[in-house]
Amino acid sequence: MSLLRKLSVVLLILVAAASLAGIWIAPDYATQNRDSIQQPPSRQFLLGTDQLGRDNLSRLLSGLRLSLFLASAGAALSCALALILGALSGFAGGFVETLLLSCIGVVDSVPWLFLFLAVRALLPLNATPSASIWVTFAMLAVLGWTHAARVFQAAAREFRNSDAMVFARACGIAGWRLWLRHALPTLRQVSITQFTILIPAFILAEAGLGLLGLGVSEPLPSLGNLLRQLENRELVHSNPEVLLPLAVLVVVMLCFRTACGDLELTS
Amino acid sequence: MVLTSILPGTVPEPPSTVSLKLVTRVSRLMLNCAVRLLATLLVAGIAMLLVRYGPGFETDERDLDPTLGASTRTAIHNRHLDEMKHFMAGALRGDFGESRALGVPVRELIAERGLATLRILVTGSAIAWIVALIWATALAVFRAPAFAGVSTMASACLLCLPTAVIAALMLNADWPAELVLALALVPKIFQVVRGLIMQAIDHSEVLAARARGLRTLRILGWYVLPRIAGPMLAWLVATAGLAIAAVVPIEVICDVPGLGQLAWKAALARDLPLLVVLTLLVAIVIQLSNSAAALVSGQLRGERA
Repeated sequence: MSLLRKLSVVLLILVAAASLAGIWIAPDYATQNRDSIQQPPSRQFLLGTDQLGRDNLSRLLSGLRLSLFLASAGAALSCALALILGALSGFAGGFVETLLLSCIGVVDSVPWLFLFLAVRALLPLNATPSASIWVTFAMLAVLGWTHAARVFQAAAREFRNSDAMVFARACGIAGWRLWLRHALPTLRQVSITQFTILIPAFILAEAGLGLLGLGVSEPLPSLGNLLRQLENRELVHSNPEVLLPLAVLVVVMLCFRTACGDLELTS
Repeated sequence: MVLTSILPGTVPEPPSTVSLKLVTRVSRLMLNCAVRLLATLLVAGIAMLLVRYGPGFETDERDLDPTLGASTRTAIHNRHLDEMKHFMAGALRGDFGESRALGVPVRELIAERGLATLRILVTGSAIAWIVALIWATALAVFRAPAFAGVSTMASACLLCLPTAVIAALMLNADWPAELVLALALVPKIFQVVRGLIMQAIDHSEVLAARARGLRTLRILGWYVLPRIAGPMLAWLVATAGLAIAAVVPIEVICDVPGLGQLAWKAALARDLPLLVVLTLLVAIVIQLSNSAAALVSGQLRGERA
């Protein structure tokens, strides 16, 4: 592992730890201090306050926690879906493989953003903010598995045609034992990689949806909600600290990309 | 005569192999078309079901009639397929119904706003492709490590931002929607084009040309460009899907009266019938672009084989 990747992993752990520490050091993200609206950073509010007088530091740490951990949960669910379908199609081969690949192709070529808009429009007006969290991340999980499934399918197919498979069969191993004890463990590394790739993708998707007002509902903070302040031109010029969530998002995303080995500073 | 017959690729294929290849290609094409059609129908089905079960939407007044029996109520509820058929028949005639929130025929809304979206899509994608091509070519020509590092970091940073954030930031700088779309697409296109160029540059034919002392621009024009033109064409077609996905947040943030903004407004106003039509329209466009990209890629694979 290169030094840059190690640094990225360490930085990601620090960010996750800071967001968890927010539960104790800055838990109050919803209290509105009406006499301290849009305050600059001070000893009382280290990152200042927003337009409703809420502590920016609390909201940033809580939003980060919510985005990081729910994106991870969504990625785990998505990865599990992809693993089941991809592995099944790759190991089975033949008609099952063609059928499942066609299904993946169908799901892959659907304009999910528009369907997502339709599903969000279906939520009742009195839906709780926590319902919006579950809907957002569950939708992302249900919609984001196709690319990972193709990778799992390719890896499973490669194992199906490998010498190890022939050897296992020659040793008399067959049935479920062959698949569960010999074939499935070969996909462990691919699962970890796909899981690591899906987390930043879901964080990014939530941030985009949140900025459009279609992600996690107020007063719950998320990275997407916090970025909505960027639309206020005067606020950006007068209070540059509103750019901090953006900087955090970029750092987190760059760390994930570097940790995945996606970002190599070579020519 | 002897030489030409033993050179690879000069031996004529037997007619049976040619017809087998043709059959394989045609069957692949048909499978591809079937998948696309199925995807479009899936979108239509999901969208129709959403409308049917949306809170407060399409509630049949007959449901409230206490004189109706259980079997009649079941029949009323189980008419999704008929509704879908009716909707599809209307859509084929160009009748997409009426927007609930705006009270205007959907066809008029699409005609009004479609041009604005099309303009942004075409101009933005064209600018993105030109910038990405120039950027990737400059990188291949100069090959300075510092330039490569800065390029990697710049494209990675842009890829770390959602399109909506790029639009919000550029709105502060008074950038038009077309340029915002270009900025959102450039890093994605750049990474692909750069990868293709780097792959082509390492090819033995290109290495031989460099060893002969040909100038870099000539190598790029004569050896690299013909190798990457095909995959780039496939990617050019596939960019349509990316651009359509990016245009929604851009139109919303930049306040452009296009189809993306219309979809967003429909979502906020819970105008599901309008959303269904827009979703279906976008699904068809994406299916067409994906089919074209698959066709180009398949053609290229066939040529290579």
